[in-house]
This record gives sequence, C-alpha cells and structure tokens, in this order.
Amino acid sequence: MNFAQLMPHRNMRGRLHSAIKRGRLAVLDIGSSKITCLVLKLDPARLAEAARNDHLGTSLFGAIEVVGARTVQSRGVRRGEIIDMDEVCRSIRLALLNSEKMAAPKVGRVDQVIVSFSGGRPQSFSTSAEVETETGQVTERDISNALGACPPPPIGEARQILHAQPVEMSVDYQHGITDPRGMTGEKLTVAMHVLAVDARPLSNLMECIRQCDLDLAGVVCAPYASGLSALVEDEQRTGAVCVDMGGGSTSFSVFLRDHLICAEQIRFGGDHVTNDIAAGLLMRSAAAERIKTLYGGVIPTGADDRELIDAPRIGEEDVPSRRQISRGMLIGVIRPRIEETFRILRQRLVELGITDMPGCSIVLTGAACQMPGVDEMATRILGRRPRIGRPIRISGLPQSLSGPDFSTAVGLATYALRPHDELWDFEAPRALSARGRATEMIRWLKSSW
Amino acid sequence: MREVAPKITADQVRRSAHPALRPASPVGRQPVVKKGPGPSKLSYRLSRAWAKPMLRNAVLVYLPLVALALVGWRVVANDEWRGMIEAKVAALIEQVAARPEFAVRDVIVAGGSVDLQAKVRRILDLQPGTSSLKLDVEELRLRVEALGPVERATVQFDPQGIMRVAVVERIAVVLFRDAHKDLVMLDKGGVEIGPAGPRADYPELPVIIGEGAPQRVGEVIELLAAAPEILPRLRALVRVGERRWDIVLDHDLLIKLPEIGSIEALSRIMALHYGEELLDRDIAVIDMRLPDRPALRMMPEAAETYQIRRAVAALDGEDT
Repeated sequence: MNFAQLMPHRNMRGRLHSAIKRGRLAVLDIGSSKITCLVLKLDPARLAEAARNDHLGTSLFGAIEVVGARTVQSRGVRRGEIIDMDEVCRSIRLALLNSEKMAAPKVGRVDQVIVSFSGGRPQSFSTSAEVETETGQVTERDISNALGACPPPPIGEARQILHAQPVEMSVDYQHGITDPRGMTGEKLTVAMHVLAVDARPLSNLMECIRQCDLDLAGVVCAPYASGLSALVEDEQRTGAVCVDMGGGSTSFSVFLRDHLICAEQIRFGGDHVTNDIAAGLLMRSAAAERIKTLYGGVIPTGADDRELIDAPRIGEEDVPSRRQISRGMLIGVIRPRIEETFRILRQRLVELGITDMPGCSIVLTGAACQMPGVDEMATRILGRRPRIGRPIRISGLPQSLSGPDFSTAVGLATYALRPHDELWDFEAPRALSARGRATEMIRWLKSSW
Repeated sequence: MREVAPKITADQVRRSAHPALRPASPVGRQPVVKKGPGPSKLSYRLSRAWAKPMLRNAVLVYLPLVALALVGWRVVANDEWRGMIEAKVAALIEQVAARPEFAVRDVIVAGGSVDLQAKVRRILDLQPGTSSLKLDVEELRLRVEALGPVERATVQFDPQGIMRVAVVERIAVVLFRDAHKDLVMLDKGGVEIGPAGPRADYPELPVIIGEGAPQRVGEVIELLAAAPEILPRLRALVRVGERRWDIVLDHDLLIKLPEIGSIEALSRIMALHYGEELLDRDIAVIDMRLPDRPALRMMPEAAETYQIRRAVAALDGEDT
C-alpha cells in the first residue's frame, strides 16, 4: 500500500484528534431522504487513556454524550450521491445550526465533523503481505513494513480508498492475534480489508463540507457505520451481516472478528418503492410516501382486501377519498421491489460466500426495514431469520432518534471512539534514504534518552 | 369505490391549475425559485461566528466596556462637565439629607446635674431639624466627654429622630488649691472637674495642697475614711515633697505622717485621741514620720497652761 496516497485520511485523523482534545464533535449522516446531525460532547481524558491502552471503542460509550440532534429532509441527494450541491449545503447548514443551537448550553461551536457516505458503489478488496521480522520480535516497524508491503488492490479508475483496515495479523502462521507487538516470530502476516468508492461523488461530498466551513474529521461508509451501532459486540465477533435499508439505496456490511470485512451497496431503496407506488397508482410522491408509511406492507393477508385506503390521483388531492384502493393492491405494488432487493442481496451474499459462514446472523436496520413484513420476507429469501437492529443507546440520544433509521448517525458517533482502526493510524514504513537514516538516528537518540 | 361528487369551485380550479394557466399577478410574473428550507450562507456564517465565545465576548462585554471607558474619560477630562456632575451629585445628596426622615427632632440628655445637662446641650449645639446624615455620633460623644464634669457619655441616634445622650457625671471629693491659690474640684481619680467657688461653699470637702497631690486623691480618701473624726477640724492635707502627707487641723495642729504606713500612723493617733484626747491638747506638731519614734511638740504656752491647770486643780483640792 502506498502510504503517501493516504495523506488526506491522515490529515482527517489529525482533525479528529484535535476534536477529541477540544471535547466536541459533530457527525453528519447525509442520506438520500434525510440528513441527521448529532453534536457530541466527548470526554477527552477517557478517550486519550483508551487510545494509549489500545482499547476497542465499545467500552467507551460513556465517554460520549449527544448534546444536540436534528434531522432535516435531505434535498439534492440521490442514492447517497450529491446531485445539487447548493441544496445539500443548505440542508447541512440547517441541520448543523439547529443541533448547535440545541447544544449551545453544553458545548460551544463545533468545527470538526465526521460524515457518512452512502453512495459511490463501495467495493471491498482484500490484500495481504508477509514480511520477515527484523529482530525476531515483532516491532511497530515490522507492522509498518508489512502494511507497506501489501500490494495495492485493483480499485480501478476514478476510485478512491475510503477504508483500509488491517483485519488479521498472524505471527508465524498463528492466527487471531489482535496485537502482535513484542511477540516472538520470524514471519509477520497482515491481511487488510480495503474499501474503495467512486472518487467523484466522494469529492463532491467533501466540497459540500468545505463550503459549509467545516473541517472534515472522517468519512465513513454508511453501512459500516450502521453496522457499528446496530450490531452488538458479539455479533461483530461471531460474524454478522448488517443490512441498512435506506431511502436511496440498500447497503450491507459484513463483520467478522470485530472487523468489517465487506461492504456493498444495492441501488434500490425505500424511495424506489415510493416511486413505484406513485407511478403504478398515478399519485404524487408525497401522497405515495404517506400511504406507504401508513399502510404499506410486504406480506399479504386475508384482511387486506377489505381495508380501503384513500389514494388520490395526481391533481385530486383536494378530495382524497375520490379514489380508494385496497391494501392488498398497495402490497402488490410494494412487494416486488422489496423482493427484488432481497434477491440481489442474497445473490451478493452467495457470491461473497457469506451464506456459508456458520453462525452468521442478519440484522436489518434503516428506515425501510420498519415496513411490516420485511423481516418475514427476508426470512423467506435469505433463509435466515433476521433481527431488526436499533442503534445502541448512547447517553443523551433523543428518543425520537433511537429508531432503526438512525443507526448510521449513531454509528458515526461510535466510529469517533475508535480512532485506531485504520491503516493511516499506523506509522508509514521508512524508506532507507540518507534523510531517512538521519531522522531514524534522531529518533533513536530521542527514544534512548 | 365510493363516488363523491363535490361541487368544484372556480377557486379550486384556479389553485389546481398548471402554473402556466394561473392568472398573472398584478406586479408581473416572478421567477419561481424552489429552494429548500435552510439558512443562507451569510446568516449561517454569521451565526457560526457568533457561536465563537471570543467574538461574542468581544461584542457583548469588551466593546461596551471600551465605549463606557471612552465616554467616561471624555466626561471626566472635561472640567465643565465634571463640575456640572459634581454639583448635581452634591445637590442630590443635599436633597436626600434634607428629608424630614433624617432630621434630628429632639435631644434627650439623661444623667448628671441640670447644670451639666444644659452644658451638654450647649456643647452639642444641635438645632432641631439638623440632618442626622451629617452628624458623626462618635465625634459628638468625644465632644461631650471632653467636658470636665463628664466621666462617660453615650450618644445614640434612634430611628425616631431623637438624639439620646446619657452622661455619667464626675463627683467632686476633694478641693485642690493649686499653684495659683485657686480652688479646683477633683473627683476620686484626681481628675480635675472645674474651678470651685469660695471655700465656704463646700464645707464637706477636704482641701489638699502640694505638688503631686491630685494624683494621690485615693490616699486622701483612705486616710479620711480611717479617721472620720478629724474631718470637722481638718484645714488641709499637704503633700510634702511629693512623697508624704501632712495633716493640718485647726488650732495649727500639724500631723506629720510617714511615707509608708500612713494609715496605721493615723490610726495610732486616733487611738491616742480616743484615750488621751491627744488632739485636744496644746500640741503643735505630732511627728509620726519615724514609726518607732513618734514625737510631739508642745505649744510654747503649753507649760504655762499646765501650771495654771494644776493650780486650779490644787485649789479645788484635787490631787493630780
């Protein structure tokens, strides 16, 4: 891996650390249907201590507190990608100002922000390398060398790395080592998970944040963030698929042994269901969205044909009861789209070999999973009974923001607690140039005295 | 499906019509810019800048402070304005002090003789209606205590507007004839009360003379308490050499008391007087200065008197 290419990420890490030092941070979940902003109050002392001791973030949920929260309608975002920067900036400003106003008594102005990125066709790669240890004992230098030796995955043209996390380290082919520093061994093997996304939508997002006068302290792939908050610790360890059914797209992330091993996006979401209803029944999208959320469902029952729903045609909203449809009809429109989504999901999971993983649980989260019958449908198609995942409780989170549709936002908050997972948290391997040798000598002198 | 056929009004038609079919507004058609809710960039930047404590403090605290300081400096630096303000403030204070709530309505002096009370009133010099805000009660008290006949004084101003003065008068116990031969009254501590009138006005008070006598008034009182009988015959007590007393009785009888043990010496004399009527005899001086060697000096005519007395007794046939 080329560490020099990852400098932007390293800079973002610096901003995250300075935000932790100042004790306040904002997270922005920029989705296709809503933008959620949380203002967090951090306990810098606890986080710094944890970073020294290399703890996983999960024991640290007490160190953050949500002091401001606001959700606004998202405009100008489609499938997680920005199509109207001005509108997106406006929505971000609205969300941020309102949540800052709510947080004003507890923290001052926040400058650093972690955002989610839900589009850009995320694709996972894995890469690994094996190096000989220099002294027979694994040092940080060896780890850096091994990470540097990992061949860069073929992410393709106009793609950019969003996450690059060492997921597996083994010393002399002994697996499952969480921290190999100081262990004795000849060979150090590092496996890495690399997540790449489209570079252009990502840079659009960054430009939006820049236009809002905010410092970007991190960009997190949305399904990863939802997985962090919707999966419990044991699920992350034994293996789980978190399916984030959002408005613009459905995405899933796979966790195993506390690490993200795969994340992908299916470009169907709740908005497509709304569009189906609007197109199929000749309705305005707002009216379609309304009957979808109020009466929508996936599994038909016998009572559905007797239940009549007002479904005004376009232009007839003044008299909503002019046309009425049965609930069965509505389900008939919704169902194929959801079914298609799950079929694609199953295909992807089969292709990735995840369905063969033993004890792999499926967790549905996101706004669209709240539709009745979605879990039933998932059971039928995926062959496993899923669970509806709500975000973990962090202190100060309003009740209205603790539903499954806010797992990404809460996941961003928990991501802020683990600032030592990524490749750019490790030191770059030093080239053996003359200058490198000189700095190395200075470093050695410094560490000796 | 339920058939509803409401009457569709012209207004409804107009509202549901395509924008292009809507009647133009009188001002002319305005471009429809569809924007989502949210603050403009400027208001966003301003409100975020305002969220910075430094700027907010600067605007809300330091700027007004600086402005206030500048205005204050301008006012103080200008003599005319400052004079005006000072005059205004003084007038205001005057106005408040002149309110009837703060006026002294009465002065009540308690304790002491009527003369003394009149003197205290005179020295306080309070006109009814004087503002109490301008009075210094402690200063008044010191002024009252500076009077000779006053031993202690308390001065209180009560909320009803009454100045209450309580005095404890000094009581004259001796008269002191000073170097100018003037009679002065002293109290039991030897403090001068004031000039006395003629000696005849104070028949009950003993007279003391001599340098250092006023400091020893206590001894005088003790001596006289030990021998109250001599009081009617007492002419004066004389302090000799600032160390001992002479008692001068009538008929020019002089009792010289020692420096130490004067009371015992006087008691011995009184004992002799009780037994032998010592003090009634023709004695000029009783010298007790040496306790183990008291001495008497006769009057020059005492021997003659004695002879006459014996002759009278012989004539009476009495054996003496």
